[in-house]
Amino acid sequence: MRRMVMRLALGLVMSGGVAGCGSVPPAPVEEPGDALSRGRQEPPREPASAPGAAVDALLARADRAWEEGQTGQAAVILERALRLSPDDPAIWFRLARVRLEQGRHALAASLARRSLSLSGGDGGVAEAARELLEAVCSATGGAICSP
Amino acid sequence: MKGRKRVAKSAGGKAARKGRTKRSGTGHRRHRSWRRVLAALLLLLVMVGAVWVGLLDLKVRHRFEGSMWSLPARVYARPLELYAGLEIGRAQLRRELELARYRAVRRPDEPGEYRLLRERLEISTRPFRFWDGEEPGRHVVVRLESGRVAGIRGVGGDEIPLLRLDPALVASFYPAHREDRLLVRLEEVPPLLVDGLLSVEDHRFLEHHGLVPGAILRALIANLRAGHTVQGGSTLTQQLVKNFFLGNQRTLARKLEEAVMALLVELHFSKRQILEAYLNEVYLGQEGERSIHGFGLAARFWFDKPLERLALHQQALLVGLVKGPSWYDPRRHPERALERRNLVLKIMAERGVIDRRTSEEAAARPLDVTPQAPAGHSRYPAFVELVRRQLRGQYREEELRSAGLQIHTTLDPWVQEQAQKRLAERLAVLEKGRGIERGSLQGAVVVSRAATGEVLAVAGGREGRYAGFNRALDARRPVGSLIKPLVYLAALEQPRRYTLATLLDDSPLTLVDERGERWSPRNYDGRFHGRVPLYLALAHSYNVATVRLGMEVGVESVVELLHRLGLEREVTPWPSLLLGAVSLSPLEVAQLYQGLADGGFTTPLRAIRAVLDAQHRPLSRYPLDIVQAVDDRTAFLTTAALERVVAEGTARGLKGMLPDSLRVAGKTGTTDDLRDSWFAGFSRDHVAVVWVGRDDNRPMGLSGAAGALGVWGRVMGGLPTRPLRPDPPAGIEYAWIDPVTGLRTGEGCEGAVRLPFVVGSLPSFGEGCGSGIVEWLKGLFGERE
Repeated sequence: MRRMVMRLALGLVMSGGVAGCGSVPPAPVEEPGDALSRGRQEPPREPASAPGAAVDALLARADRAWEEGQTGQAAVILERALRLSPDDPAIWFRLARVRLEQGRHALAASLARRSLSLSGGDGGVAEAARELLEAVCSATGGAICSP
Repeated sequence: MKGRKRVAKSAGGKAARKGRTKRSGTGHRRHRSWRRVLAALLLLLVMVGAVWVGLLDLKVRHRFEGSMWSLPARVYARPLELYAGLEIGRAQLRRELELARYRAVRRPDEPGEYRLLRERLEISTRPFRFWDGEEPGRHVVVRLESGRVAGIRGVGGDEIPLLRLDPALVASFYPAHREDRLLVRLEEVPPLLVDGLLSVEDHRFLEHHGLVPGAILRALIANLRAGHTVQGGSTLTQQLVKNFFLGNQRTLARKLEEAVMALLVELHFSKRQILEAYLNEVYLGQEGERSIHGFGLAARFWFDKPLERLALHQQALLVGLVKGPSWYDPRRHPERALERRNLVLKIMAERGVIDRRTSEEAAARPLDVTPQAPAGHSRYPAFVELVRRQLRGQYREEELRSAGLQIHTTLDPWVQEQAQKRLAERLAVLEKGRGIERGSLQGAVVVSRAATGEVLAVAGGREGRYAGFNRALDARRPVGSLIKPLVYLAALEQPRRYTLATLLDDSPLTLVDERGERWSPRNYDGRFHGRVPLYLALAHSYNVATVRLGMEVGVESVVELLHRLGLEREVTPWPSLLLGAVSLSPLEVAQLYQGLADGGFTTPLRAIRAVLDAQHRPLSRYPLDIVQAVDDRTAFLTTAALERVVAEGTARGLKGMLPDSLRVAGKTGTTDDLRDSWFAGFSRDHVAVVWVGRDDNRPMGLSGAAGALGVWGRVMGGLPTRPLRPDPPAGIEYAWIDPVTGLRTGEGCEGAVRLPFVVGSLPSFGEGCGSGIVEWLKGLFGERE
């Protein structure tokens, strides 16, 4: 029951930026001059892959796996996405969500804190990460709580 | 005689006893006893024979029904993933393709082929089974623009967001007998190859029951005439039996055994099973100690292609090699091989497998073998050694060598080769430039990914290609000043007590060490520097200030921090620890710095992503497991101080080696009498640790800045890596500080530096410049970031 509530709450937060194409939150803003912004500035001579398209594709797959209850597969795909985009708090959060569902509370909390740290503490992802930390705290009877 | 009787009696049983009661008379008796003995002997023979056949039968069935072969484990590098935005140079791309055994051709239509032009890579990838599923083979065009992938499109026009290539095979763990093979199923073998094999080796295979007596007789006569073996006369089944059970001895007893076993094999197993076993067993090549078995591996060994893609002339060559792969070795004896191949083609035409024209056309073609066999040895033995150790707890050595495991590692071949190359180059330059004995310097490099703890490269010495003493894993050396960032980190964990601006005391100090002796730490430059702000004491690696700070914080706190950051080794909390009197391997140092590089989150360094069984089913995965070891704000402050090491401290020398935009953090380490030269540091993406020294632990005359730093800078400079994140975590604010007083000052004031602080830990304003009302107001509200 708690899991369902959790899932609902997080789902709502997560879908804030996304409706339509699965549930992909907006890509994080990166430094100027990096892959992301460069790609955007250049006039596309032919319809190029959008920057971050690789990560988006992986996240869509991970979300599908998660929806279908294949948490193991979802985690594998999310780790692959992290290798491509290690500073993206949304990916860390998703991985936290998967680990929480698997009952790995301590790991879920660490991942959520990593997400929170990268997000700078603001925005929808940070909000969702905080909620997840609270959920871990109550699920573990206060054993794993954020400082 | 008596003895024999007794044997007969005991073994002969009822038949013998019956005979004894019927006959009488001495002559008769003697005659009778002879017959009895004979009968008994015959019976004995039949029984022994039956037992023997029974045993052979057991042997045959056991071999066929179990897993027939020991299969070596395959060790793969990480797969190359291409996507829009990826930074990858042409040199790297070309090398990655080469390592994954892609061939440069004009029209890359076949899987495993590519064409690299200035702004595009056209490639046909091979399908591959990964731990998370099958990656299909694709024919795509990758657009390249100024060192980056601009986009990927299938030849059909579809956009492909992410392309994963099949990984490079970097090593195999062979069974003790060094047999190597790649299993194929009968349906994967080209039918013409099977027909060719049968027509040359055993054209009555489908009819006989394991033996062809006529052929054996003919061979016997031919061999007797010639005085030595000229003809085999063995069926495929006999050849298989010989390979499986008997080896190369040619005694009559062995021949008999072979014949019986061949019959047994045929009795129990279908022609398909026997043929498939033969195709996988037969010996078809040799590379050093490694023997190449089966057509599956032979196709790759000789032509670097999968079996199903071989053309007729190549199939015929493999069939020809069955007779003697070293005698007909197409690389060493191309003429013999060509002759043999064309004979095979001729026989195939004679037997009606192919028509004459096809045969002649194929015979007109060159051998088409690759000039060099694909390497079967380990390319990166130092890295593979780490893999082996990480597997050790989970898999038995026997299992590693025989169960056909597919081991997917985190090895990044480009990073690995950069590390090996730069280390070797720099050591040679250092020796030459400083008059150090040639070949006396050694070194080690470990590179890992900051965010995931994946080990990307391990160089265990200057000779990267040879396995030997693995200094990255096994050389435990005092770490010297590499420990200092952790002493400072332990202090910064108390933001109310210590900030980057806190003034430390670098004046003479004497304390009593663990042996009860008085100890007075000294600075590298032999001087004392009075009161210095904390960040500067770290930047200049002042020993005395560090010891004093560490004693205030408590050596136990530093030890506890080391363990929190993943150090498993026991460390005694002696004061000398504060100056690095603890011996660690480069890998252990990398583990400590990884936590710092990843904003306080630590994860065990991993060299393996997944292990699959021989059927590509996942056996174990090595998922990302992180723990927050240190508050992210504290980690950020420490990193900021380590940036000052590079900007103005002992690692200033890095500036010329790295692009200006590449902000990195790091620390030099030097031990007594210049025995060990260390550098450990990180960018946003990579953590790297370098050690330089001598194996005999004698002084070599190089400090951290003079030795290891140069290697580190050149390794890091050769990687596609990003500068440190400029944006701090929540809860950090910046202020301008006067390094002389450690107090706040104005932006324009002399010597002012801008430092980050944990919110609420800002020092107060000093007097003089910048202490005006504006700053006072700013101080009141803070200058948040």
